[in-house]
Amino acid sequence: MTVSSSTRPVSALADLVDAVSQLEGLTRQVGAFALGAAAVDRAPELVAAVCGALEVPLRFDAPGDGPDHAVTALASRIRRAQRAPELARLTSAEAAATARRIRDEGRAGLREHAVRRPDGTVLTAVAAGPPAAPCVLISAPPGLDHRLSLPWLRALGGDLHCAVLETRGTSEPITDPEDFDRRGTGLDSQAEDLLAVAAELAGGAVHLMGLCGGVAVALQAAAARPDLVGSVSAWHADLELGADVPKSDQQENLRAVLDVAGESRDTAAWLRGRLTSGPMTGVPEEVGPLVVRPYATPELFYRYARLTTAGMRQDSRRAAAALAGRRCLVVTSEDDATTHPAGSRRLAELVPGARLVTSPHGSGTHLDAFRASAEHVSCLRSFLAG
Amino acid sequence: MGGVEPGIPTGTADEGILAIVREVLPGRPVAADDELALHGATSLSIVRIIAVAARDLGLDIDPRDLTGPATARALAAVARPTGRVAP
Repeated sequence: MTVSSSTRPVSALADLVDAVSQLEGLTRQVGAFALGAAAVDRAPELVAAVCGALEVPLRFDAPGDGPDHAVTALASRIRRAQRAPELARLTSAEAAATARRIRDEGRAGLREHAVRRPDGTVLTAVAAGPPAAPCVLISAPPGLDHRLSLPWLRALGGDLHCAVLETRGTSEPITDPEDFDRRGTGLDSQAEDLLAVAAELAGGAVHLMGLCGGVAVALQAAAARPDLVGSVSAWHADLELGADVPKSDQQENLRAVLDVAGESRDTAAWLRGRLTSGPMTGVPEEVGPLVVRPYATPELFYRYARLTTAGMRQDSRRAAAALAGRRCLVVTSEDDATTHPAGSRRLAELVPGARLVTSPHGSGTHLDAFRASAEHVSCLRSFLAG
Repeated sequence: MGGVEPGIPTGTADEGILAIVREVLPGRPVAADDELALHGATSLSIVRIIAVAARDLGLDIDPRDLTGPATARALAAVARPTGRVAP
């Protein structure tokens, strides 16, 4: 390797590998995906080599007639990463070999499980940590890439068996799109999936960790099978607990938009066009492609709408009350403008004995649910230790 | 008969869209020609207005057709029938 005298090209390449890898789940589901040529304006051959090495079939010939800001957001990290001047010192062959090594190092310690459900759905769960250790199972927001939750797997996987599930219909390749509807999209189906993964991966009762929109699914699962779910934590919860509980503008707007999008594939396609014709503001750069993935195609947007509104619509008060007698941790932030902290406060009131942890003003945002900060990891470990 | 505000006749797209705007931006005294962004409208809240207008009024609004700031009246001006029947 000619790069041994300096790690800077490797560091720049690692950034590009991460950017391309963020689209791995998307291409696994929908096949080759086209981004605009602007995403590879500096290093098209090198990006092609990295995509080939990582087996992420991206093309860079998306038509330029009419803006699609979802596609622009999906490409944004690659566009930035491939501009690093240090990459000019790498040949395509060197980049490909190094990209494989970076990918393999990043995957070290992660195991992928395929869990087949009776209705034909094949779920993907990713796990880390000793399989015989106590299990923490993450219920992530419907439709979002499991990579968003990897900070938690890495933070807990040293001594705990930590896993995250991708929502039904959002990871396996799409053959007949209507299979998705036939198999069910409701909260019950999603909760049963979570329990099936818990039964498959864990030797005993799991700790269910709901993140944002995944909290409603976690509560439903915990209420249904107390034998499989020993305790629950809810991080920046987005769920329905009654009309008197304030919601953020973001919650109200997203719910209304997804309600309409979930009516039919045609409606979703039309509304996606309206949504992506303008810039998608507020998307954090470091995880942009993971957050925007549900908007990548009309079919994915339809699925996201169906799966997400299932949790947004269902009143979770009964499921919360069913947690009585089990341990429950609720975490939020006064500054969470995405999911109103009032929902978390109410959840803590509904579960007798729940522990509520609220980051004060100036010290937290919604994305903290996914960051696994040292403070939050310590908070969870303290809770799990009892 | 007066509309939701003077100069907005009842039963028109202007009236219907202004009503949706006020529902989406509650507590803000939005007038038909007010720039919605100045009342706190975000890109997502504009899409919500578009979605609800399609569902409830059978109107298709493409924000790319706007030639100036997004206002309730401007959205109504570019609205076209979707062909859908409101429930």
